[in-house]
Amino acid sequence: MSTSTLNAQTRGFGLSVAITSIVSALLVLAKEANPGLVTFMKDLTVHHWVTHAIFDVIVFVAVGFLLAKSNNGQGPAIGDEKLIQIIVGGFLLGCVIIAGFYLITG
Amino acid sequence: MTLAILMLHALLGMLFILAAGFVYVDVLNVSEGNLPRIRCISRLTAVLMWAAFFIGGYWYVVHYGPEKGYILKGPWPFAHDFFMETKEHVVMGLLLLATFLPIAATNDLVGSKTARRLMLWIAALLVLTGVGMEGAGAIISMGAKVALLPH
Repeated sequence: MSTSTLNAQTRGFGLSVAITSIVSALLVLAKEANPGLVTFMKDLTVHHWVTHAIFDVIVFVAVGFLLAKSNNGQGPAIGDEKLIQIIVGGFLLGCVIIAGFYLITG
Repeated sequence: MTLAILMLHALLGMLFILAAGFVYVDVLNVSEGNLPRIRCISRLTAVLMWAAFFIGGYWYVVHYGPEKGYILKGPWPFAHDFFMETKEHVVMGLLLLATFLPIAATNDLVGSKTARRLMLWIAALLVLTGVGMEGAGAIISMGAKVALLPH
Protein backbone atom coordinates (compact mmCIF):
# COMPACT_ATOMS: atom_id res chain seq x y z
CA MET A 1 0.00 0.00 0.00
CA SER A 2 2.23 2.77 -1.24
CA THR A 3 -0.51 5.37 -0.61
CA SER A 4 -0.68 4.61 3.12
CA THR A 5 0.51 7.30 5.48
CA LEU A 6 0.86 4.84 8.37
CA ASN A 7 4.16 3.06 8.98
CA ALA A 8 4.58 -0.73 8.96
CA GLN A 9 4.79 -1.00 12.77
CA THR A 10 1.49 0.84 13.17
CA ARG A 11 -0.18 -1.37 10.58
CA GLY A 12 1.23 -4.59 12.02
CA PHE A 13 0.68 -3.89 15.71
CA GLY A 14 -2.66 -2.21 15.04
CA LEU A 15 -3.98 -5.37 13.44
CA SER A 16 -2.40 -7.32 16.27
CA VAL A 17 -4.41 -5.33 18.84
CA ALA A 18 -7.62 -6.32 17.05
CA ILE A 19 -6.63 -9.97 16.64
CA THR A 20 -5.32 -10.38 20.19
CA SER A 21 -8.36 -8.68 21.73
CA ILE A 22 -10.68 -11.16 20.03
CA VAL A 23 -8.43 -14.16 20.74
CA SER A 24 -8.25 -13.13 24.39
CA ALA A 25 -12.04 -12.87 24.60
CA LEU A 26 -12.40 -16.31 23.02
CA LEU A 27 -9.91 -17.68 25.55
CA VAL A 28 -12.19 -16.34 28.30
CA LEU A 29 -15.08 -18.34 26.84
CA ALA A 30 -12.87 -21.43 26.52
CA LYS A 31 -11.73 -21.12 30.15
CA GLU A 32 -15.30 -20.79 31.42
CA ALA A 33 -16.42 -23.78 29.37
CA ASN A 34 -13.48 -25.98 30.31
CA PRO A 35 -12.37 -26.13 33.97
CA GLY A 36 -9.47 -28.35 32.92
CA LEU A 37 -8.05 -25.49 30.86
CA VAL A 38 -8.23 -23.20 33.90
CA THR A 39 -6.36 -25.78 35.95
CA PHE A 40 -3.76 -26.18 33.22
CA MET A 41 -3.26 -22.41 32.97
CA LYS A 42 -3.06 -22.11 36.75
CA ASP A 43 -0.39 -24.80 36.86
CA LEU A 44 1.75 -22.90 34.34
CA THR A 45 2.08 -19.85 36.63
CA VAL A 46 0.65 -18.82 39.98
CA HIS A 47 -2.80 -17.99 38.59
CA HIS A 48 -4.80 -18.63 35.41
CA TRP A 49 -5.21 -14.87 35.00
CA VAL A 50 -1.43 -14.39 35.00
CA THR A 51 -1.04 -17.09 32.34
CA HIS A 52 -3.83 -15.46 30.32
CA ALA A 53 -2.08 -12.07 30.47
CA ILE A 54 1.30 -13.54 29.46
CA PHE A 55 -0.39 -15.40 26.59
CA ASP A 56 -1.99 -12.16 25.37
CA VAL A 57 1.28 -10.22 25.46
CA ILE A 58 3.14 -12.99 23.60
CA VAL A 59 0.43 -13.19 20.92
CA PHE A 60 0.34 -9.39 20.59
CA VAL A 61 4.12 -9.05 20.18
CA ALA A 62 4.53 -12.10 17.91
CA VAL A 63 1.61 -11.28 15.60
CA GLY A 64 2.58 -7.60 15.58
CA PHE A 65 6.19 -8.29 14.56
CA LEU A 66 5.16 -10.83 11.90
CA LEU A 67 2.57 -8.52 10.37
CA ALA A 68 4.90 -5.51 10.48
CA LYS A 69 7.52 -7.50 8.56
CA SER A 70 5.00 -8.85 6.05
CA ASN A 71 4.47 -7.51 2.51
CA ASN A 72 8.20 -6.84 2.03
CA GLY A 73 8.42 -4.86 5.26
CA GLN A 74 5.51 -2.54 4.39
CA GLY A 75 3.03 -4.20 6.73
CA PRO A 76 -0.41 -5.59 5.90
CA ALA A 77 -1.84 -4.40 2.57
CA ILE A 78 -5.03 -2.87 3.94
CA GLY A 79 -6.38 0.62 3.35
CA ASP A 80 -5.83 3.07 6.20
CA GLU A 81 -9.52 3.67 6.88
CA LYS A 82 -10.20 -0.06 6.85
CA LEU A 83 -7.30 -0.57 9.25
CA ILE A 84 -8.75 1.95 11.72
CA GLN A 85 -12.13 0.25 11.49
CA ILE A 86 -10.55 -3.16 12.17
CA ILE A 87 -8.55 -1.88 15.16
CA VAL A 88 -11.52 -0.13 16.76
CA GLY A 89 -13.95 -2.90 15.83
CA GLY A 90 -11.67 -5.68 17.04
CA PHE A 91 -11.03 -4.03 20.39
CA LEU A 92 -14.73 -3.29 20.94
CA LEU A 93 -15.76 -6.78 19.83
CA GLY A 94 -13.39 -8.28 22.38
CA CYS A 95 -14.94 -6.10 25.10
CA VAL A 96 -18.50 -6.94 24.02
CA ILE A 97 -17.80 -10.70 23.94
CA ILE A 98 -16.41 -10.60 27.49
CA ALA A 99 -19.03 -8.27 28.98
CA GLY A 100 -21.86 -10.01 27.11
CA PHE A 101 -20.77 -13.42 28.32
CA TYR A 102 -20.63 -12.39 31.98
CA LEU A 103 -23.87 -10.43 31.63
CA ILE A 104 -25.61 -13.61 30.50
CA THR A 105 -23.89 -16.08 32.83
CA GLY A 106 -22.89 -13.86 35.78
CA MET B 1 -0.61 -1.85 53.15
CA THR B 2 -3.21 -3.82 51.18
CA LEU B 3 -5.44 -0.76 50.92
CA ALA B 4 -2.45 1.37 49.89
CA ILE B 5 -1.78 -1.02 47.01
CA LEU B 6 -5.42 -0.83 45.97
CA MET B 7 -5.49 2.97 46.15
CA LEU B 8 -2.25 3.18 44.17
CA HIS B 9 -3.86 0.98 41.50
CA ALA B 10 -6.87 3.32 41.29
CA LEU B 11 -4.62 6.41 41.31
CA LEU B 12 -2.44 5.10 38.47
CA GLY B 13 -5.57 4.21 36.54
CA MET B 14 -6.87 7.75 36.96
CA LEU B 15 -3.53 9.23 35.88
CA PHE B 16 -3.61 6.92 32.86
CA ILE B 17 -7.04 8.27 31.89
CA LEU B 18 -5.85 11.86 32.31
CA ALA B 19 -2.76 11.18 30.19
CA ALA B 20 -4.82 9.58 27.42
CA GLY B 21 -7.23 12.52 27.53
CA PHE B 22 -4.24 14.89 27.32
CA VAL B 23 -3.05 13.05 24.20
CA TYR B 24 -6.53 13.33 22.65
CA VAL B 25 -6.66 17.11 23.11
CA ASP B 26 -3.05 17.59 22.03
CA VAL B 27 -3.65 15.62 18.81
CA LEU B 28 -6.65 17.84 18.04
CA ASN B 29 -4.22 20.77 18.14
CA VAL B 30 -1.19 19.02 16.67
CA SER B 31 1.71 21.02 15.23
CA GLU B 32 5.46 20.62 14.93
CA GLY B 33 5.67 22.38 18.30
CA ASN B 34 3.67 19.89 20.38
CA LEU B 35 4.58 16.73 18.44
CA PRO B 36 7.41 15.73 20.83
CA ARG B 37 5.03 16.24 23.77
CA ILE B 38 2.36 14.04 22.16
CA ARG B 39 4.90 11.25 21.69
CA CYS B 40 6.22 11.68 25.23
CA ILE B 41 2.76 11.63 26.85
CA SER B 42 1.79 8.66 24.67
CA ARG B 43 4.72 6.73 26.13
CA LEU B 44 3.76 7.93 29.62
CA THR B 45 0.18 6.72 29.03
CA ALA B 46 1.47 3.24 28.22
CA VAL B 47 3.81 3.24 31.25
CA LEU B 48 0.97 4.30 33.57
CA MET B 49 -1.27 1.57 32.17
CA TRP B 50 1.41 -1.09 32.69
CA ALA B 51 2.05 0.15 36.24
CA ALA B 52 -1.67 0.13 37.08
CA PHE B 53 -1.94 -3.35 35.54
CA PHE B 54 0.98 -4.82 37.51
CA ILE B 55 -0.09 -3.33 40.84
CA GLY B 56 -3.75 -4.22 40.30
CA GLY B 57 -2.75 -7.68 39.12
CA TYR B 58 -0.61 -8.24 42.22
CA TRP B 59 -3.49 -7.20 44.45
CA TYR B 60 -5.94 -9.40 42.52
CA VAL B 61 -3.79 -12.51 42.64
CA VAL B 62 -2.54 -12.14 46.22
CA HIS B 63 -5.26 -10.30 48.16
CA TYR B 64 -8.59 -10.52 46.33
CA GLY B 65 -9.54 -14.08 47.32
CA PRO B 66 -11.05 -13.32 50.77
CA GLU B 67 -12.80 -10.21 49.44
CA LYS B 68 -14.32 -12.27 46.63
CA GLY B 69 -15.76 -14.62 49.24
CA TYR B 70 -17.41 -11.73 51.11
CA ILE B 71 -18.81 -10.23 47.90
CA LEU B 72 -20.34 -13.51 46.71
CA LYS B 73 -22.06 -14.05 50.09
CA GLY B 74 -23.23 -10.44 50.28
CA PRO B 75 -26.17 -8.59 48.70
CA TRP B 76 -24.15 -7.53 45.62
CA PRO B 77 -22.70 -10.80 44.18
CA PHE B 78 -22.86 -9.21 40.72
CA ALA B 79 -19.99 -6.96 41.85
CA HIS B 80 -17.79 -10.01 41.30
CA ASP B 81 -19.81 -12.15 38.90
CA PHE B 82 -20.16 -9.40 36.30
CA PHE B 83 -18.01 -6.40 37.14
CA MET B 84 -14.81 -8.08 38.38
CA GLU B 85 -14.93 -10.89 35.83
CA THR B 86 -15.42 -8.38 33.01
CA LYS B 87 -12.85 -5.92 34.39
CA GLU B 88 -10.09 -8.48 34.88
CA HIS B 89 -10.36 -9.64 31.27
CA VAL B 90 -11.20 -6.41 29.41
CA VAL B 91 -8.18 -4.80 31.05
CA MET B 92 -5.90 -7.07 28.98
CA GLY B 93 -7.19 -5.58 25.73
CA LEU B 94 -6.87 -2.14 27.25
CA LEU B 95 -3.24 -2.89 28.11
CA LEU B 96 -2.48 -3.80 24.50
CA LEU B 97 -4.28 -0.73 23.15
CA ALA B 98 -2.32 1.50 25.54
CA THR B 99 0.90 -0.18 24.40
CA PHE B 100 -0.08 0.54 20.80
CA LEU B 101 -0.60 4.28 21.45
CA PRO B 102 3.12 5.28 21.37
CA ILE B 103 3.59 3.10 18.27
CA ALA B 104 0.80 4.98 16.48
CA ALA B 105 2.36 8.25 17.68
CA THR B 106 5.49 7.57 15.60
CA ASN B 107 3.57 8.45 12.40
CA ASP B 108 3.50 11.85 10.72
CA LEU B 109 0.71 13.33 12.85
CA VAL B 110 1.14 16.82 11.41
CA GLY B 111 0.92 15.80 7.76
CA SER B 112 -1.40 12.78 7.89
CA LYS B 113 -5.09 13.18 8.72
CA THR B 114 -5.39 9.37 8.90
CA ALA B 115 -2.63 9.16 11.50
CA ARG B 116 -4.41 11.81 13.58
CA ARG B 117 -7.73 9.96 13.29
CA LEU B 118 -6.10 6.75 14.45
CA MET B 119 -4.57 8.52 17.46
CA LEU B 120 -7.91 10.13 18.34
CA TRP B 121 -9.72 6.78 18.16
CA ILE B 122 -7.14 5.06 20.35
CA ALA B 123 -7.02 7.86 22.93
CA ALA B 124 -10.83 8.05 23.06
CA LEU B 125 -11.14 4.28 23.55
CA LEU B 126 -8.50 4.41 26.29
CA VAL B 127 -10.33 7.18 28.13
CA LEU B 128 -13.80 5.64 27.84
CA THR B 129 -12.70 2.11 28.68
CA GLY B 130 -10.50 3.44 31.47
CA VAL B 131 -13.46 5.28 32.99
CA GLY B 132 -15.42 2.04 32.75
CA MET B 133 -12.64 0.22 34.59
CA GLU B 134 -12.62 2.86 37.35
CA GLY B 135 -16.40 2.59 37.66
CA ALA B 136 -16.25 -1.19 37.82
CA GLY B 137 -13.57 -0.92 40.52
CA ALA B 138 -15.84 1.34 42.55
CA ILE B 139 -18.73 -1.13 42.28
CA ILE B 140 -16.46 -4.02 43.32
CA SER B 141 -15.32 -2.04 46.37
CA MET B 142 -18.94 -1.23 47.19
CA GLY B 143 -19.84 -4.89 46.79
CA ALA B 144 -17.30 -5.76 49.48
CA LYS B 145 -18.45 -2.89 51.68
CA VAL B 146 -22.17 -3.79 51.64
CA ALA B 147 -21.26 -7.41 52.28
CA LEU B 148 -19.46 -6.42 55.48
CA LEU B 149 -22.08 -3.99 56.76
CA PRO B 150 -24.29 -5.31 59.61
CA HIS B 151 -27.64 -6.40 58.20
